Amino acid sequence: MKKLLFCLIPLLCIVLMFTTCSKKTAGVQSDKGETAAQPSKTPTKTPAEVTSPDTKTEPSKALPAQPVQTDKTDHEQSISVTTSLGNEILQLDMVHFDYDSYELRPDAIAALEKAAKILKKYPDAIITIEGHCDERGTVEYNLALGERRAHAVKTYFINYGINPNNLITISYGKEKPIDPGHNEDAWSKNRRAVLVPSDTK
Amino acid sequence: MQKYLVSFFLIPLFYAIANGQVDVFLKIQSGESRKINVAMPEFTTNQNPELAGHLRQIIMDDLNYSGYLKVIDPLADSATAMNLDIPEVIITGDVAHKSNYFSFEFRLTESVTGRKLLTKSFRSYPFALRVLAHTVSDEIVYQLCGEYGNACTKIAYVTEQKGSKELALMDWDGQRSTLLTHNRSINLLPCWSGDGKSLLFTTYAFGGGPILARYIFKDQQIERFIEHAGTFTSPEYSPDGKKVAFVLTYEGNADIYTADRNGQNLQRLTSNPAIDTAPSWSPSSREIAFTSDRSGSPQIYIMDAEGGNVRRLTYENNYNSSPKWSPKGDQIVFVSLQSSGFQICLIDVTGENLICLTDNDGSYENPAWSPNGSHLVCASNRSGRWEIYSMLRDGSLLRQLTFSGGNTGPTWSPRLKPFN
Repeated sequence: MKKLLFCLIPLLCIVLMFTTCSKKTAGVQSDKGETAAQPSKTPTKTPAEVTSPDTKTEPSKALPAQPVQTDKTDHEQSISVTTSLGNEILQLDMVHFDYDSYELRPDAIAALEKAAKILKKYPDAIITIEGHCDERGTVEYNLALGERRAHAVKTYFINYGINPNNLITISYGKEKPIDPGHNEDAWSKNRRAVLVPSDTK
Repeated sequence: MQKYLVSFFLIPLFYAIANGQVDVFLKIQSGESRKINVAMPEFTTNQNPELAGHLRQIIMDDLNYSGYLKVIDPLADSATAMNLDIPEVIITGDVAHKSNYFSFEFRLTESVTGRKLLTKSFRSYPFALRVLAHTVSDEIVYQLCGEYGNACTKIAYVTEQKGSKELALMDWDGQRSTLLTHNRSINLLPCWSGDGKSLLFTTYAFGGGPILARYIFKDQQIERFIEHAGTFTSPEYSPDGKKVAFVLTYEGNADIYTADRNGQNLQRLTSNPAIDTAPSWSPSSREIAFTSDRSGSPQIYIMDAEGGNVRRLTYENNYNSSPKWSPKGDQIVFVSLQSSGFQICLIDVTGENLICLTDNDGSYENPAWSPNGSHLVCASNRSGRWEIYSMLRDGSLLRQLTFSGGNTGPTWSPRLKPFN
């Protein structure tokens, strides 16, 4: 499974994206709420205390412990589940976010609900959720913001009943814009989360 | 790259003879803006005026950009008879071309008294001309001002290559650029080890999300830095070389951690639901500046190296990020979002004396200090494309170093010592 999860470079991936407009959602937990409950932190610890993130964190994360060269030939290709899932997901649109925000807008919720229904039909499918930002932010900060966006989508799916172990998040910050422009039109397209069906378990 | 390595490792082929005095001509005081006027007549040469002229030009460019010296032409300036432009020091040089190498001797002479300040000679190969010129420039600056210039430094940066982002390297003047990585992935945020022998950076090259890796110059290899699973970004070595600060993102939340220099023994410094990122060590390695949006917008904070005693540094503007602590410890450079994009700003570590250095002509990102703190390097899209620029720490002498577009994320090497 670990090996399979490595096929990020979206060789076999059909990219799906969802759209949206604006506003907040009551239905989805905010990141701040979730992170407060993260396992590596105990309530008694102050921010000054140091704890190790270690092995107990991220049991479901995809990265292997050993450095692994990306080797496309290793990947299981064109598994039928992936293909049909990809085809279905292609019909959906892209999830967008407001500037410097990771909250799911109502239009995003609507798109994610459609996606969640499809994902439910493929319980073995592994989905990578990519978080992206527009160029108006620093590299470091946008890497963190993109992670939040991806995680907001992941949280929605988990709440919908999708197996968390099938959901991988990756932030690309502002490094992979789909529109190279320098105006609001381009920026609003680039602030997005993208679903990439990677593989099956 | 090969050229760089050759000149870097063939050190025994060079030698230097110093028989000058070591007292400093003019100790540069902090904040002083006076420059020493020097004259540098054409170098004498037995048979290679082209090489001698090239050598002189590189040295002259280096000296003029050092921030400490101004090379003047006494003949041209005598017509205007500006008092300020009387040379205080004369630099003379002689190039002797042998079969496949050349020797170069230069002298510094105080113009009024005729006192010899320094005589030094070097032997080099024509292909290593630039290395020799930079070495001579730094020697001159050191002799006259008591501090080495930055000419013997390099700048690592990120360059776009057909959709991928690779690490690249160039001299401090933008010359001799070369690609370091060829993994066709995304490589970001390089940072130098204190000995200049490796770069630590954020990469997607191992598959999955971003992790930390190290580029070793000697064998041109990349190795993974932290073995265990997770999303890692924004590494920086502590100046004492013992630790690395970086960002680990868990469940969507970015926090700052440190590890030993071998990537072991992770320690968590921030435990905040906000984004905490972009750590930068103080020169004492006792404190860390970083970006956090815990107040609702990204701002610069400082904390102790163990994570305690967090205090907010910036209050102006609602997006301040990418702090880098100055080598002298007194200031922090960062980017601040203004109407035209990010601008490079400086603030004292006390939170006072905020000034912005750039001109609102485009956006400026990822500032980094030269090792002696006299210069800054950054990326800007002021030309319409992202390029690397350097400037003096007061924002003057903005110099474009790259011209190919898609160049970002520069970081300045420590002073490299090819002749030792």
